[in-house]
Amino acid sequence: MFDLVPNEFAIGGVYLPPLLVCSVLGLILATATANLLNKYRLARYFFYPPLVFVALAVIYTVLIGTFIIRA
Amino acid sequence: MAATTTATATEQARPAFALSGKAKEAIKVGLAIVVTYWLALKFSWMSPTWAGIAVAVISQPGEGQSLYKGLLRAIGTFLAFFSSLALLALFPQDRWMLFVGVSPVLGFFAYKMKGENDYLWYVAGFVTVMIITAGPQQPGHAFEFAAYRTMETLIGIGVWAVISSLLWPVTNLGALKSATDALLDAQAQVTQHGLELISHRGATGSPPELLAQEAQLVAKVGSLINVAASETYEVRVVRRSWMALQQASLKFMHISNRLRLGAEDLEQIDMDAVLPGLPDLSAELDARFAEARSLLAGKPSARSCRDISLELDRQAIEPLDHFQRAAVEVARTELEQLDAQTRKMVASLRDITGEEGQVAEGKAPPDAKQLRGPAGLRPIDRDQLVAAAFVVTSLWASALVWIYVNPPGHVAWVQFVPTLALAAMRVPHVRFFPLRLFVYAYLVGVVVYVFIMPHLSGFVQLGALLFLFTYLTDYYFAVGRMPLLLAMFIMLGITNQQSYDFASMANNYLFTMMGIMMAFGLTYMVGSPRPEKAFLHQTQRFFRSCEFLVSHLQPPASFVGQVREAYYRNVLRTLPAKMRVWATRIDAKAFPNNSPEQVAGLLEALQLLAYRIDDLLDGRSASAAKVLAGELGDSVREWRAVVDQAFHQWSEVPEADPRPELMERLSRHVAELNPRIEELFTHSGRAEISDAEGRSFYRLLGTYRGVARAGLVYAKQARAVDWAEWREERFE
Repeated sequence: MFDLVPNEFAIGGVYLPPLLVCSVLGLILATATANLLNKYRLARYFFYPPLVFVALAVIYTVLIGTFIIRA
Repeated sequence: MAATTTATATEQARPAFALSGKAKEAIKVGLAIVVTYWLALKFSWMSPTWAGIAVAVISQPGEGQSLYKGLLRAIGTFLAFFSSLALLALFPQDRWMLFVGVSPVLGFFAYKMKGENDYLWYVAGFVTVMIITAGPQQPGHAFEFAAYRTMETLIGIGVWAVISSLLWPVTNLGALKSATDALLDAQAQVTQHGLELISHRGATGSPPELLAQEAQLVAKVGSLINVAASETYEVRVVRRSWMALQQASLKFMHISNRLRLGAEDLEQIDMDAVLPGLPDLSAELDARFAEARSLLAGKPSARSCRDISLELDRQAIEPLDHFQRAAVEVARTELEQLDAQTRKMVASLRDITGEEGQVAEGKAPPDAKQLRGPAGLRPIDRDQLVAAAFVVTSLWASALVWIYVNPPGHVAWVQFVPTLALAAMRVPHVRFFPLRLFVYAYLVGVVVYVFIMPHLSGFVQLGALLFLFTYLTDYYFAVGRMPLLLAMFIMLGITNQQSYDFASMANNYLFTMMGIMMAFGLTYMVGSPRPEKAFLHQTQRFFRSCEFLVSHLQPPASFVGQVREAYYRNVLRTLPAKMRVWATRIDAKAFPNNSPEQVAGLLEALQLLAYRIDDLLDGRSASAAKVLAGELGDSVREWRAVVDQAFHQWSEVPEADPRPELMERLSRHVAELNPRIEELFTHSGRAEISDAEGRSFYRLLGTYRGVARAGLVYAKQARAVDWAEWREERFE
């Protein structure tokens, strides 16, 4: 399914590095996850949410980079 | 009939299309930006963006407001000019020593960044960093860089001053007068509510909205005086009297707050019987406020202030116990202070309107209640120290990133991150809200830079783009206009030799986002950005200060002791106001168990405690204190131990409930003290105790009682708050 997702993105003839796209998507997904965890009061189970947010962003970036936008 | 005809004629003369005030302001800003850019490009100045930024930052609605801000920016730039060139001269060719040298200077600027002139120090801070790091961009041109930066800032200020005073000029004198009138009106209402409350004619006192409005108006009048004085001679010559009026209003607000918050102490007492002059005082204060408002409206003085006697009725006071008498004495002192402050207000307004022909000149009177430490030094402010440490850390962190990693942005890291750090510390409760605007503005900037700017030729087209963009931003995004304009001008980077490079722009964008993220990450060293967490820490800090002050009631003899006492007293005086600001940022929806009303109640209790401890420290040197310490020494020590223990518990757990024990011990204490005081009076013979000594004794006894009562009020409010909910972890 993900084979249709391009590896490189070009805007006006300028190529964007796949890692940049992955990290932007990773940040968006991490923000959405954090909002959901806040909404259902699940964030209280974490010791330090700011670090969890960073970890989520990294995990999402790696997952997107590995399975969806393959560099 | 004639009036109707004139009105009709005026309506007919009015053009069908009239610009709104908002549109006029937006046109003025747009025009000033275009003229400034034209001058900078025409004369090939180093970076035209600097002049544009100066206009974007200082252009505020109302001429004087801009001129005053422009003045602060100019002074800040000059300060930075001299300090940075001195640093460059002291440490040439040695980057580490230069950073070591700039750290205390930047820390000092960050420390001073508070109060109404904080903008001056903010500008001094970030311009210093910009000038000292100009070397790597243009080696050997640091002086040229510094001189251009200063000159272009001044040109930006000058252009805006000319345009705003020639095109649809707006003065702040009317705003100052209307704010003062609203303040006098609010204070008249607060006074009447307060007097009704203590004489049990009104049940609730002033509504919270009215009190909030009063506090806002006091601050607004304070800032408008400087603004109006910078543009109007009429205000400048009587600036001292305006300041005296504002100071009197500020003190009046504090005293009426004390009276209102301490009304519970008087609930069993018939105040109208004990103080027969109270209704007269109420009528007189009302008349004084009416007189003040009439003077402000330009009407001649209609009456002079009447003297009101606040003598106690001996018969009515006889049945009261000593603690009730003490509460009456505290209230009486506060009523006398209200009387004195309203007299000052009327006198200041007479000066302002020239009624008494005593137009005052010179510096504003110092605030008598302003706290000073030993040798007249200001007490250390912990929050400002933290701000200074944070800004210096951000300088070093960004310098290390630049030197060892050198990512896109290069030396600009050292300029951008400390500037963000300074901005974040200026309004710590806002934290990074404006930076979101930066992110959006940069995105718009990218679109303009890529799709529009390459098609422009000549200044006419560029000027039209600048005008249109500035007009639309100023008109539609009044709140976030400044960061939007700043980000756009930085992004466009307009110069005479304009070249377009997508890679450099993308790098610029990447660097900006990384800089913002780094600065945001660093703010965690100051503490959690969550307002409820900050509120919790501040509550604990408040009680640590209470504990220290109550356990060290003797005036300190050593220098260190005086510094410590001044520090803790300053915390007590300033923290409730800071907490109020943080409390407004707490998201009530995220914490349904803690309503804004509950938080307001908690803040009121803390404010009452701060007032009462302050009174206690003020009254400790009176001769009455020696009587209390000598004859009733063991009882006073016992009282202190009880209160001290409660403060200690609250400094560790704000919701701790020492109430039952506190109530029981204090009730026992009051029961024991009453006969002992009676015995003391009988033993010494009432004739030996003068009226003044008696008043002083009861006033001090009243403050002791007041501290304990305020503690009980806090305990009651704290029980209603769900503290665990605030402690729960959440994503920011």
